[in-house]
Amino acid sequence: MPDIRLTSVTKTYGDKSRAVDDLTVTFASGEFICLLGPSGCGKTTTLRMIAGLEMPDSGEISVGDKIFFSSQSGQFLRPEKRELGLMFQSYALWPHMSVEQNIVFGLDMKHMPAAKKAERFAELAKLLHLEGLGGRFPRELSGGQQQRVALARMLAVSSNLLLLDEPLSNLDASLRLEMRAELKRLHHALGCTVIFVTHDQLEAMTMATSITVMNNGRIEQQGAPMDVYRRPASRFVAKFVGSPPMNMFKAGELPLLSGEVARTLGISAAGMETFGIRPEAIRLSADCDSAVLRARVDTIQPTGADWIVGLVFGNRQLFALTSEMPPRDIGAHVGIALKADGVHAFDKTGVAVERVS
Amino acid sequence: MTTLVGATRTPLRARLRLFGSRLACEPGHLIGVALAIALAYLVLAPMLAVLGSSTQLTRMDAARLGGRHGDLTLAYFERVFTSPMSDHIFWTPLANTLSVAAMATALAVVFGVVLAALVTSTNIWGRKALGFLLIIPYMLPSQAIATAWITVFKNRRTAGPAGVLEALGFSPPDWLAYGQFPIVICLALSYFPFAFLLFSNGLNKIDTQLEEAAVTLGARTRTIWVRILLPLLIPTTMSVLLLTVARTLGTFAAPYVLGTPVGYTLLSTSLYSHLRSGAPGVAAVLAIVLAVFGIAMLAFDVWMVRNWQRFVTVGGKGDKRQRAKLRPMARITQTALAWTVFLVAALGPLLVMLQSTLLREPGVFRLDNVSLAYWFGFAGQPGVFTSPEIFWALFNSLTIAGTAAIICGVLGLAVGYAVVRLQGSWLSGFLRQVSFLPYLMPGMAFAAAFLTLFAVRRGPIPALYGSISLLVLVMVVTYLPYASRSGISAMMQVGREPEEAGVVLGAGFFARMLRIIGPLQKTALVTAIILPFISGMKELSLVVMLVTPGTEMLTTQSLRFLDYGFTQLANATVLIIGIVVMLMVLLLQRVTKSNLAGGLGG
Repeated sequence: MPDIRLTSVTKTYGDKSRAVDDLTVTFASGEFICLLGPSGCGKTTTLRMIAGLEMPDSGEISVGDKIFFSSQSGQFLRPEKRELGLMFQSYALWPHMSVEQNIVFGLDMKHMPAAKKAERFAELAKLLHLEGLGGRFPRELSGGQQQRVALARMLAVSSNLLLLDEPLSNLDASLRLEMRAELKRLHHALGCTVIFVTHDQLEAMTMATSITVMNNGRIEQQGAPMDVYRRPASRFVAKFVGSPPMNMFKAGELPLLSGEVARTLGISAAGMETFGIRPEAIRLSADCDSAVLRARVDTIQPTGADWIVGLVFGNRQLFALTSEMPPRDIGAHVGIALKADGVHAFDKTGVAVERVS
Repeated sequence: MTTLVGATRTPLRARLRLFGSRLACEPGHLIGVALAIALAYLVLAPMLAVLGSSTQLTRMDAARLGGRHGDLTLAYFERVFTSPMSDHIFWTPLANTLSVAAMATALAVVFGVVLAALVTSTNIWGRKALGFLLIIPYMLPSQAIATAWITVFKNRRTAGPAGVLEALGFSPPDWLAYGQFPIVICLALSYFPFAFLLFSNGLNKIDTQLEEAAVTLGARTRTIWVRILLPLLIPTTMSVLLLTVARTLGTFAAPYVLGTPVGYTLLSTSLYSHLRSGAPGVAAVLAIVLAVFGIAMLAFDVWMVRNWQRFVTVGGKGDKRQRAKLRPMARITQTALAWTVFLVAALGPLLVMLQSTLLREPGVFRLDNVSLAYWFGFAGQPGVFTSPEIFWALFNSLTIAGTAAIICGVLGLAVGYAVVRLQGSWLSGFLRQVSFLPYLMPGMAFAAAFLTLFAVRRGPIPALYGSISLLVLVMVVTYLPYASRSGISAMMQVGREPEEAGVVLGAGFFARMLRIIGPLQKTALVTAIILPFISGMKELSLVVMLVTPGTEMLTTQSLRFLDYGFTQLANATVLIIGIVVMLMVLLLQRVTKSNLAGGLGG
């Protein structure tokens, strides 16, 4: 399957602001692509436009030389002719059909003979661990099983391009881990292109091979997960990706800290409007006399593997994430040092300031 | 500059092509447009027709007043509001209507809230049974209680067999037999089940944690009711008040049966008599007045919903309320109270009507007087089972209400489909609004509107007066608000995704309808058909002006019987309606696997 290309795609709902605003992006074939952003950022609309359930106001969507939509030529390829699979956030399993009926529905629509349908169903049931569940109804299944049925229904017809809308949001925490692995395994086994939408940065980081961060109908950054994490292109990306979130400050707010940040990055403090420090880039030490920066320990939240330490610096609160036991107890002062790779500065427009390397 | 705009603008041909694809991909557009045109004609045209006939001279008045047929005039408004006749036409009926509405509503609300509190929150005996039994008056046609009343209290003022009391040797005074007092009692008895339903639902929805919080802070039962539960019920109370007042304004049966003999008129009976006596202009003005009342009620309701949001309780765990354990004496008296209401409002009228059909001589309670003569006929007089009038009325009622209900159900779901599919577009908003408009018009006013519009040939549509199709049409439009509202909520609940999943997998429109939407909306469709059917079987005020000798329905036939003094046949007819309706309610409960509560719309 060739790359998916969106060119100047715009979509407006009613007279409200643009859901998707002049979007130009290429999704490479074979990747596990994540559209990441807060709710209302246009990610689901983008997915639905690729699927053909929404029609853009203008622009062009194409896959190789196959044009899905073009406002210039007036072409619009109907969803069922796009040869893609779509899984809904609610799964949209039909409650009045059995698991098997749900899964072979797409084959029914192609008038496939019964024997072939049964064969394909057996194949999919094996792939997705649904053996023996064919006669059940969706409400008799667990959340995880329901999701696998939705996957199977989508895969029955097409397995080149899969679109998943918030695939894990309806599962509980332990199932999520399992299904993340399952989806990665599927992607690997089928070699297909997957585009999935999520607002959960952890999901994006753990599953995707390429992340596209969206905000207000525009793309903020596109890149490999670790690139997005290590080199956020904008203040929005920096704040949105990472948990606990990056500590953000205005440049003038804490002169001591901003000076230290500018020095760490090797840039002039003048061009810096805001700056951020990743919690794990804050190193704590018991010795606070020789340290340049000092903070008071306010709260300690052990997570088991790590500690999230709430610090008060000046009159601001910031969080540090450390895998070592905090050196001092609540109320005491600690010295803090910054790791260069977790410190980021942004200019007036929110764009990252280039660091001098 | 122009070239730049021209370059970025989509070419016309491409836009047309995309428009075509959009139509092909979204059947909601075509369905929506078709519905919009049909509804605009069926809903808006009658309203305009009423406005027209209130301001245009009829042929007869034109000759009398020396104008031309169709001339614009304010004569009808003057006649209704300022002429020497206005007292008789409008002001007295208005005063009567308002006083009856106020008293009946107050009584209905008091009954409703007290009974709801007893049934939901105390340990009186037979709570479960009462929950159903107290709703029975709601299932009876509106004239049932009035007919029963007249059967008991009728005096010599009117013709026909004597009332029970008269036969027993008492002579009920006029004030007890006719006029304001019995009308208020009858309306209160027939409307309190509605208040009871809403208050019970309201009480059950209140999160018990709200009360438990008060208990932990040391509040007693009385304090909890006065300071917490009753204030939380204020929004419910307001909507009960509005709906009951709105119903009273449009009510016809009780004032007709109990008011007409002593010349006590309400707006609805005034409208009826003017239409019957060939004064359509005056009737149109009265219809407008009723509609204005309706609109005012609705506007107030909307305003309230918007401004009383703070009372909407945040969803809680919704446990069942702990039922207060009454002390033995209180338990006995309060149980007796609840059951008395049931006896008087539901069982009483039914028994009164039944006994009247079983006694050859009214009020003579001796075994040798008991006979089935009124059911099977005697001395050449047809009985219930042999009367062609009742047979045809039953046939008409079933066909008219049945056809209207099926059309209404399908239309309601279609409106729901289009509204949900086109969500956010102006067409969706238009459908939602227009399909709701008939809710504003009291049935009487709407019937007058339909009569004006379809009495003569209009374009391709022939004159429909005297045909069954007119009755079907007017019922469809009147029940449309309920059907479309439930259609919209059913479609909303299913959402777009199940259908879109079919689209992506290659299912065409018909495949989606047959295999996905149809099966998913089966229950909703059956409900959307049975509910209007029930309303249609009981309908009186809407159809009373539109029926003709060939198209009498059970409800109107029962009135005719009363007019001619055949009390027994009138009662039997009402009983038949009651039986059909109760069967339907049972069927409905079977289909939806639910309890009745709250479902009955009109």
